[in-house]
Order: sequence, then C-alpha cells, then structure tokens
Amino acid sequence: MPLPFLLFPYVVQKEIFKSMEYCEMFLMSLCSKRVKQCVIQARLKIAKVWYGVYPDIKFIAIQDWGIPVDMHIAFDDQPALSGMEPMEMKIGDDFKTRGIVKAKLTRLKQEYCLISVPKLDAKVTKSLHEHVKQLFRYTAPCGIEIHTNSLTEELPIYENVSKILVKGKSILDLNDLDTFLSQYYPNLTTLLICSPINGEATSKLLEIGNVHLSYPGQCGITLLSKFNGKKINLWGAVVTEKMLNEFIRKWMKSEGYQNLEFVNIELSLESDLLNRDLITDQLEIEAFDEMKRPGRYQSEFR
Amino acid sequence: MTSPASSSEVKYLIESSEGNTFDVSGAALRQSNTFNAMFLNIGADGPIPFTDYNEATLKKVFEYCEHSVNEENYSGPKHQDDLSKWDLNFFNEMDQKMFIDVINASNFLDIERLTSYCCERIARMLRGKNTQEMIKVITLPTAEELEAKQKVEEKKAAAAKKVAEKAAETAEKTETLEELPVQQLVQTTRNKLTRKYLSFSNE
Repeated sequence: MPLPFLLFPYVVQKEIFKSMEYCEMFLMSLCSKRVKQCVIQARLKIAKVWYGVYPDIKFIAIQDWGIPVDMHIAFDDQPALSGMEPMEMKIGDDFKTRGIVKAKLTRLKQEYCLISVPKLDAKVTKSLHEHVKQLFRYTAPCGIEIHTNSLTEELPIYENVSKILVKGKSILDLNDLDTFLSQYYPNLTTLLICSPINGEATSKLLEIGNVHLSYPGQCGITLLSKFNGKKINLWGAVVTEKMLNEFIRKWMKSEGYQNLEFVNIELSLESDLLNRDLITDQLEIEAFDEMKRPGRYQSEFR
Repeated sequence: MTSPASSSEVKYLIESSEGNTFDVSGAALRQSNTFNAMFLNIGADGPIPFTDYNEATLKKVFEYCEHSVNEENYSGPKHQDDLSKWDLNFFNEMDQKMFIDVINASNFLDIERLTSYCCERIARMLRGKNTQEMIKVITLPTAEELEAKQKVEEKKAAAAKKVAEKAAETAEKTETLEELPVQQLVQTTRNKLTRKYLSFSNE
C-alpha cells in the first residue's frame, strides 16, 4: 500500500521533511504542484546557500550549521538525453523541461541530485534560483561561486549576496568582473578570486571590504596601493621591498588605509626573496613587547 | 490532580472507534501531550474517547508508550540506525495500513518520539529515489483521478443535498400530520379546562 503523503497532517509532513536531505526535498517538490506547496508550507530553514554558476553545470551548495559547504542540487546539460527515461518537470514559477534525475555522492560523501537537461541556458539557471528560493527560508546572506567564463552569461538577480568566489584556470578579465559586479550586489562584503587576473584594480574591486586574490599579478600591486577595505589577502604576489615600505609607512602614519585591519601577503615563487633589513631600516620600529600587545591576533577572512 | 509517582499505577480506560474499551497505564498515557493537556490535571470520569482510531491502532500506539515508559528522557529524534531490537520489531511487525494509522494516531495524541520515528522511517523509504520513484511511493493522484474524485464528491454532495431536502420535507409533513394535532389537542384541552375553571370560579 503506497503512502498517502498528501493526506498526512501538516505536522507529520513537516517532520518527514525534517528527516530528509535538502536534495530529497527538492526532488519531492518536483513530484507535483501540491507536494511542492507542502515543502513550501513546511518553511524549512537553511543556513547559507551558494549558487554555483559554471558553463557546464549550475548547482546549489548549502553550508549547514557546523557542516562544510557542499553541493546538494545540480543541473548539467546532456543535449541527447539517454540512459534513463526523462521526466517532465516544472521548475521555479512556470518553467517546464524534460530531464533525467540521478542521485550521486560528492567528494565529501554528501548525497546530491544531478538533473540532466537538454539545454542548460539562462532559463534553467533562473528557474533553479526561483525554485530554491521558494522552498527554503534563508537565514544568512547567500554566496555565488562563478567560473571566469560564466561572468558574461545572462544570470538571474541573486538577492542578498555577501560573498562572491570567482574560479577558473583561464585569465580573468577585470572588465568582465566589473560588468558582473555592477549588477545588484549591495551587500557584497567579500570577493575571492582564485584565477589569474589581467588588468589593473578597477573601481568595483576597490569598493569591496574583504578581498582575496590567489594569483594577483600586477593587479595585486595596484590593489594594495589603493585598497580602501578592511582585509586583503594576496597569495603569490610579486612585491618589492620598496613597495612594502611605502605601504607600511602610509598605514603607520595614517596617510591611507584607514579601514584596514588585516593584510596577508604571500610571495610568488617567481619573485625574488625580500631583504627584511631593507624594509625595517626605513621604518621607525621598536622591539616587540608582549606586555603592550599580544603576539598573535586571530582574524577570520569573512 | 494525580501525582507523578502514583500516576504510573493509575489505569485509564480508553474507548476506540468500535466502542470497545481497554485500559492503559497513566505513565504510558503521560507520553501523550494531548492527554496531558486534556486530562492529566482534571482526571477522567469514565473511558477517554479516542474514537477516531480503531482499537488495534490505539493498542499498538500504547504498546509503544508502555514500552518506552522506562526509557530515559527523550531528547530529540533518534536515528533509525540507533533503534533497539524491540523498536525495529515494533515497526517491522506493522503492515503499511497499520503504519499509516499509527502515524495519524500518534500525531493526534502528540507522542513526539513515536511520531518522529515514524516520519524518519518514511523519509528513509524515499531515500535514494528519483522523482518518478518517489511518486510511486507517495501515491499522487493523477489529473484524471483528481477529476474523477471531484465528480464523485460532487455527486455525493448532490445526493446528500437531496437526502437533506427529503428529510426536511418529511419532517415538515410529520410535523403537520402527527405533532400538530397533538399540540392542538393539548391546547384545546388546556383552553377547555381554563374555561371550565373560570366558569367554576365565577360560580
């Protein structure tokens, strides 16, 4: 005898959803309009959502309370759907498509559902965003993980975004990033770029509070000289003693960097080793005294 | 008010939908928040009517309550993997129909632990399935079935309306044929008696 799910009282339905994984709730919501309504009515809270935007895959990753961020729902494209019988599904407000649903495991052994659709276009991305927004109650600002090649794609307006992570092996054109950031992201506090960068630090980049660049190149130098935010993290940077001297002097004398709280610069393997004496000789320094200030500060890059 | 120590010895009579009664210990009943809210403080005279559920279902639910009386305080849902042998047997013994009835009764009686175990069990039934397979498990009525169901309901409503109208008509007729003459008779007799009494008193 099958389960009369829709006939169960609201409390029971909600309790069932609570025992489910996020991807299972998503799949349930695709069963029918009424089941979707049940998921919506359960008003399930979600910690932090990451929208993943890559040319060949769009996904929803969830960072749960105390659990690392991992993928839960993914859409990829398979122009000729094969292997299983595709099913008709309605996503978001009113978008209909055919797709094949498969349950998979991520590297962290998290169950996720992979839905293969014949065409992974802007409509799918928009509908996926709408659908997830309808199902769950967000309790924290969202994040976007985007591939460098997807920056110019047509994307939905992701609301209440506080973090953006740009990834990719190809070189990031800062003009593309500027165009992307000029959309509706008023709450953006953190930008992490994990791809090589081409160009000088743009106005949009300088407006953000916390910036991390994995391969900053020339952009790192201009960003460091004009930075106006709180935290800056430069990995693989190419800097000279003179540049650092100038930066530290300005910061110490309060000639700039009024908001700056944290700086981390890791030198690129190609750059020459820095001569510490050349830096310290130019500055008014005093011996470290543990009585005056602690030896270590803890700062989270958020 | 019954004290917690003595309430375990107290037995309450429960009435099922068949009208049958059976007794359940106070300690087992206290796991039901519905019972606690309704009867714990005021007590119950006679059997407590849980007449929306049949005897077998209620006995199964209270069997669970009786068993978990001596368990430690409940602190949130327990994972199915952590269930004891007794718990597993309890769930495996039930057929699907009984299982559904137990969920509904447990929800009505607000027995938190049993409800959440049952719900987790349902979630497990749906685990690892794709949407098509889920639809098979949860029985979604198709559009035609919904339409047919609606038609049946409309027919039923129309039939019920007819029955109600007929009943009303019959009631009116009965009123005119049987009840009114009696009333009239009473009234006439009363009038006669009054007149008689008045004439007698005048004399």
